[in-house]
Amino acid sequence: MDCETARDLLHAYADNELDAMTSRELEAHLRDCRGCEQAFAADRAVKTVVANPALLHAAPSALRDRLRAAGVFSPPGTKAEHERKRVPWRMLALAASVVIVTGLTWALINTLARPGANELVAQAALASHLRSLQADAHLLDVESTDQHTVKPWFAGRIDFAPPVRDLAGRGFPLIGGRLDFLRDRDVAALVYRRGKHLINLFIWPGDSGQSDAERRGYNLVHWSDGGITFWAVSDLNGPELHQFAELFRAESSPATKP
Amino acid sequence: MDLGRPERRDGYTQSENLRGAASDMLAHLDAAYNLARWLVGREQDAQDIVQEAYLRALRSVETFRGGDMRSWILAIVRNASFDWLRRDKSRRLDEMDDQSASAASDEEADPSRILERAEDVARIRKAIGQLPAESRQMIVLREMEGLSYKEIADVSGVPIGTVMSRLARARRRLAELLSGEGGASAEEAEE
Repeated sequence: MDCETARDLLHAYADNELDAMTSRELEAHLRDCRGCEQAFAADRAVKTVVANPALLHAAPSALRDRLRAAGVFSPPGTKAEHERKRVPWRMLALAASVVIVTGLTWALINTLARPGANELVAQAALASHLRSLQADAHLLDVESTDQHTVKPWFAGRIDFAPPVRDLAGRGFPLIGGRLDFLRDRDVAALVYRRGKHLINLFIWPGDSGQSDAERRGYNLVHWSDGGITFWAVSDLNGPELHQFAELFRAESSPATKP
Repeated sequence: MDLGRPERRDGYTQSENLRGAASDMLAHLDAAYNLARWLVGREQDAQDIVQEAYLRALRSVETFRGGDMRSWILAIVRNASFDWLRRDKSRRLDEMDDQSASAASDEEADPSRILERAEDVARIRKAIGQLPAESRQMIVLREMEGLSYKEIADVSGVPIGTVMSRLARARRRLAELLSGEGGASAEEAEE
C-alpha cells in the first residue's frame, strides 16, 4: 500500500469503519511508514480531545417545557384527553407491555426452532432496554463499577452466575446491574457506559447462535458463549457496539463460568 | 394476535402511534439540541430550531418509514439549522474560515501538542467553533454522537465517500487549530 492510499484510509480506520482485510494492509503500512504513523497518531489525538464529554450540550429544561407547551409531549388531537386520562393511560401502557411481553413469549415458544425466534427476542430485548431508560423506571439494582461487587450481587437472586467484566480500561466502564424479565424468565442485565450512551447487556443460560440487528435507531448484537446467551442493546453505533461485544467475549475465560 | 403494532417496526401510520412517535423523538432530544447548538452557536437560536424541527417532525411523522429514528430526527434538525445559517447573513464568516483553512493544510500536526489540549475545554470549543458549519457537523455527529458513516450520510444527505473526505478535512483542520499552528494560538502568543 502506498502513502497516498494509506492517508485516504486513515480516518476510516480510526473510526472502525474499514473492513478487516484493508485494515490489515493498512496496519502493515503503518508499521513501516513513520510519516503515515505520525498522521494516524494526530487523527487519534484529535478524536481523543474532541470526545471530551464536557463539550456536549444537554437540552435545557426550558426547551423541554417549550416542547410540552407546544404539544410535542401530547400530540395534537389527544391533548385534552391526555390531561383527563393520565393515570389510566399509564396503567394501560403497563398492561399493554405485559401483554406484549407475554405475547412475545408465547410467540417465541411457538417459533423457537425457526429463524424468526431471534427477531422476537430482539424486539423483547429492545423493549426492556427502552423501559430501563424511562425516567420513572429503575436502571440499576446494584450500582457499582466493580465487577467483584456486581457479580456476587446476582448470587441467590438468579439461577445462574452471569459473567461480569469491567471494560473501563477499554472505554466501556461498567456502571452496575439489575434483574430484568425477558422472554419467559428472569435475566441478568449489566449496564455499561460509552461516552453518554448506555449499553444494556442481557444475559441468560442457553445457546442461540449469534446475530445483529438495528431497530428504530437502536443497535442489537447477540452472541452465545459457553452455554450462555448475551444480547447487547444500545443507541451506540453498530461498529462500536460490535467492538464492545468482542471485548466482552475476549475477556471471558472458561474458568470463570459457573 | 397483533404483535406488530406496539413495536411499530413499519413506521407510524396509525394516529394512536403519534404519542409513541413523540416519545421516541424525545429520547433523542439531547442529541438534537447538541447538534443545533454546535451549528448555530447561540442557546436561544438552538432552542428555536429544535422546537421548530420537532413540530415539523411530528406533523410529517407519517412519512417516517421505520428504520433509524435518530437519523431521521437529526436530519430534520440539521436541515433546519442550515436554513437558519443561510438566513443569518453574519454567519458568512464560516466560509472565510474555510478558505483560510486550506492555505496551511500541508503541515503535519504534532499529536503530543494536540493531546496537551485535552483538558482545555474552552480552547477545544473555540477550535471547533472556527470550523465551517459542514465540518463542524461532521465532528459533532461522529465524535460526540457516535454515528456511523452510513448514519452521517443519511443525516446530511451526501454519499458515504463525501462523509469520509469531509471528516478527514475537518480533523486535519482541527489538528492544526489545536496544535497551535492555526489562528487561535497566534493571537494568544502575541500577548
